[in-house]
Amino acid sequence: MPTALGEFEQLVLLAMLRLGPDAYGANIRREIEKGTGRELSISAVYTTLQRLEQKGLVRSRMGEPLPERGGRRRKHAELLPAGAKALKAAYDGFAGMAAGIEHRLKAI
Amino acid sequence: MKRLALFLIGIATPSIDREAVVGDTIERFDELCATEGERAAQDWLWREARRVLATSPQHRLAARPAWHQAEVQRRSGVTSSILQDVRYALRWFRRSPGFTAVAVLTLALGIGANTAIFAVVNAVLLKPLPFASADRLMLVHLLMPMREGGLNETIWSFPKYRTLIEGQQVFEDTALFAGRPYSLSGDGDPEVVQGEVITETYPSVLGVRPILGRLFTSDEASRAGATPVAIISHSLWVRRYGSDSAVLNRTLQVDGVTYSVIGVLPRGFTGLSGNAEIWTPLGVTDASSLSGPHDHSYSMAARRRPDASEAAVVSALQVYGTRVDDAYREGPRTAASSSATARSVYDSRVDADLRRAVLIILGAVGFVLLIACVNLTNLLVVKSVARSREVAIRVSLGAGRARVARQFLIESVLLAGAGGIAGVAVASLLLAGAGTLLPDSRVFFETPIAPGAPRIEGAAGLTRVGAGMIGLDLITLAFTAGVAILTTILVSVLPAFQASAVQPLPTLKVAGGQSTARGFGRFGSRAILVGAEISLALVLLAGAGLMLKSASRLEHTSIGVDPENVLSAQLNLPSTRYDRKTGPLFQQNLLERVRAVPGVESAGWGFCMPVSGGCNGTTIWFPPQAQAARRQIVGIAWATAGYFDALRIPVVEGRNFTDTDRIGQPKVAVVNQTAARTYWPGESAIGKRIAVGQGGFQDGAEVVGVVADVRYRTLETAPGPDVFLPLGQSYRGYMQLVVRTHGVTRGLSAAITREVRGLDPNLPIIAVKTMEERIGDAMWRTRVAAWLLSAFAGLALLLTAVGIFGVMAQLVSQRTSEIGIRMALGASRGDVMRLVLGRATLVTAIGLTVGLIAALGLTRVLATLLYQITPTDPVTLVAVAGVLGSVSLLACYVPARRALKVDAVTALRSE
Repeated sequence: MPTALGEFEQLVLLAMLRLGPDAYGANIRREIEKGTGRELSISAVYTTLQRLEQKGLVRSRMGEPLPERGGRRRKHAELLPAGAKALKAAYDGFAGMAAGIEHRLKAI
Repeated sequence: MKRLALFLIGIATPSIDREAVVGDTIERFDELCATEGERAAQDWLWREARRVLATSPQHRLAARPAWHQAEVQRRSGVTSSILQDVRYALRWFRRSPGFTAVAVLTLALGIGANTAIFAVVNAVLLKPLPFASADRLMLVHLLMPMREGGLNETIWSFPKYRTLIEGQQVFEDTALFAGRPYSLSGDGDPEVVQGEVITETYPSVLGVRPILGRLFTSDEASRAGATPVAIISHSLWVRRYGSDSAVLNRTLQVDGVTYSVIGVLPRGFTGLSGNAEIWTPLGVTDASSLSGPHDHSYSMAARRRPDASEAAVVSALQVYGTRVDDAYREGPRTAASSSATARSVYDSRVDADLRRAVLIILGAVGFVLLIACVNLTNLLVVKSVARSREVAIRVSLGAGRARVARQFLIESVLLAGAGGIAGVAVASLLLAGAGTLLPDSRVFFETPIAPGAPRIEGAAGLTRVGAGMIGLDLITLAFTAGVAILTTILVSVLPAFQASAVQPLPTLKVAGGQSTARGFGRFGSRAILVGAEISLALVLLAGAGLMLKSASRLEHTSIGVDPENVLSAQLNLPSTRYDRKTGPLFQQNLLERVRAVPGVESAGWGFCMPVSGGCNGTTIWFPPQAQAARRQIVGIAWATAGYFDALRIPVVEGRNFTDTDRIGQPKVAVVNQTAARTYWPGESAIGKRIAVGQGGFQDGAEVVGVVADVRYRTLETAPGPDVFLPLGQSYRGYMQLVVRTHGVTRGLSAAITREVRGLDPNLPIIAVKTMEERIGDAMWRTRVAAWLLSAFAGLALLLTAVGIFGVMAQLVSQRTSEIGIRMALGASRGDVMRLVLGRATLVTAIGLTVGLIAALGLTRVLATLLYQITPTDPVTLVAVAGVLGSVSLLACYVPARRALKVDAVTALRSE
């Protein structure tokens, strides 16, 4: 039974899926802002990444110091198989429930 | 503004994500600047900061488990790097075994001496007394007006005690006790043990219950003529009765009276006098005291009620004391009337002088440790300078200052730890050594007497701290650990600081770590250390010098007798078996038998032995003057002619006693020179008539002789007026047999025992001592203090010399090339010597000056321990300063000579 995911967790995981191995805090936020059209705080992304990491769905590692960030390192996040499975389960559930009523949802 | 926002975002973010979050924010900000302009980016940044601050709690909460995990990892990293430092330090110690040995040995001596002295302080002043709720136990003193004015703390008579406690509200229970020797015979050999005469309340005041049998009833303890009963200690029960529980039916001959044993007290209980093995009821043993208001013989112990504070007890006693004064006052009430006061047993466990002496010695040994620390600091600083190249390499390879300092700190901790452990070994050796010097663990620290203070048995300090109480217990070991920690802090700070301040670049540029950049003038911190060492050593030497001078003055004080080849033994003829006819007969017979022993030169009976704390005092008046006219106190003693001969107390005027000074003949007396001078100034005492309040001499006697003064009280106390009565005219059963031999007194004690046994096999022989032993007893406090202070001062001197030598030698070896250049350029040997010695002399002079000032202030604490010498004795201070100055310069001179041998060519080549 895959782990149940909260809404924001699903958004973060979707962003990571889009970004692949290059995912890190700032571009995850940009993906979500782009996809949802809402501005969000960077700490919301990191809070969620912490939770996902503790659930064993993602793994993080620190990158190299980068001059454009004032010598600070990026924290890269990698989607683990368990994370991918959980995301798929969430999507399947969502898609299953939405099947056949997509036009009605669009009309709202 | 951007910085402030970033700072806020940073502090709002948990540390684990801080770097990434701030980095991401900067990345985004720069991106917005490029696409939408700086203004929009600023607006966004502040919105972002607000959002981050608002969500900070959630973020921290989410990050906590991860942070925790990371922290554990980080700490284990620290632990392993500390282990690495420890391994490195151990390797370094192995590489410099000489240094390590000197350092550990220095600390071991310092810490060990401190531990040993603290063990004594602990036993004498700190260890809880072995009585139930001892904190509520108080000693109650009677205050009596003194002749010289003021009040004197003294002990109680039974009637005054009863008056005092009548209706008292502050004590749960009160008791009287008096320690004294008891002669035991009956089952087994006759022996003399210490015991206590007590009221029946005594065991309950001290909270002790018998392990066998019962305690005294109030009838037994306070009614004259009650059946004689005794309670014995566990030790006596084991020794004399083999732990036989049938002891309760046995009888015991105590001072010639038959007592039934009714109880045995628990193991280890030795009463308030500290060494009692038998207890007898006051009403039986001292029946006559029950009704004698002026028979002040008993100490009073009391347990205060939990709701009565010590202050409340003292103020209540002032009220109760006036009742005693009203009941027993002679003449009208004056301002100086009798009263009472009390002190906790803890305050009076030892007298003030002994307390002061042990604290001074603890202070002295603390100074030694301080000098040892300074020395070690010096060594470590020298070492850290020598290691500056190694440190520079480590720093340039990326080691932080803190990390380098930690390495040095760990080395100090290891050294102090090893020093502490070795110190415990040194302390137990020292205590074992002291134990062999005082082989009898029941040896008690007798109450020493301040010069001139009146001695009242039992009223000064308690004397229940025995040598057997001294040992390495948990409190002492905790003290040692504390000292070791303090030592670590003292010795580690400077080297760690110095090492971490090493500048890698200049250090590495100089080959071999030698720098000629700094001359002799710059040995700053080490000069201060050496100066401090000299000052500390001077204070110690001054104290030791004063004590030594005091001890030698005491040693050379004539007590008025020739102490060589004299032995004395106390023989107490019990009044139950010896009366006024048989007693003198026994004394005469024994004297004749002893005189016949080969090697005996002379023998006599005397009531009082020199330096034994003083004997009897009584009133003296001069017939036909009446007794009450003027009360003067005089020392009184009984003697035979042989007493003055045996002790070689010269008769300076008139004659000695003779065998014809017997009952029936006109009464005669001998006085000492002080008495003659005091009572008949400018006249001859011979032929004058005196009367004294004791010995049946109230009706007057003629002074027939004047003898030289003898110090009866203490070595320090000048003699007072004394009167001697002839034993032939005034019988006393409790006398000292005094014997002088031609040669050594060895074997004499056995001969005397044989002669006594021949006359009376049941008579115990008490306190057989040579006169030299008596003088030794009287001197032990001054001797021990002088010896200990000298030992510590000697150690301090040695450590200081080693310290100065070490610093100078190192300085010279570091400056070899400088000296070589100077010599190559034509400096004379004198110039080089001046160069090396100049600074050292200055430092020595400053150290000596500071030390002298400190000594002038500190030696004052010695004042009450000194004899005929002031604490600021200039001769002593100048002498010790001279000794220390010479040692210091000598320690400098040896390295300085080495400097002269420097070969200019070799020195320059090494550069």
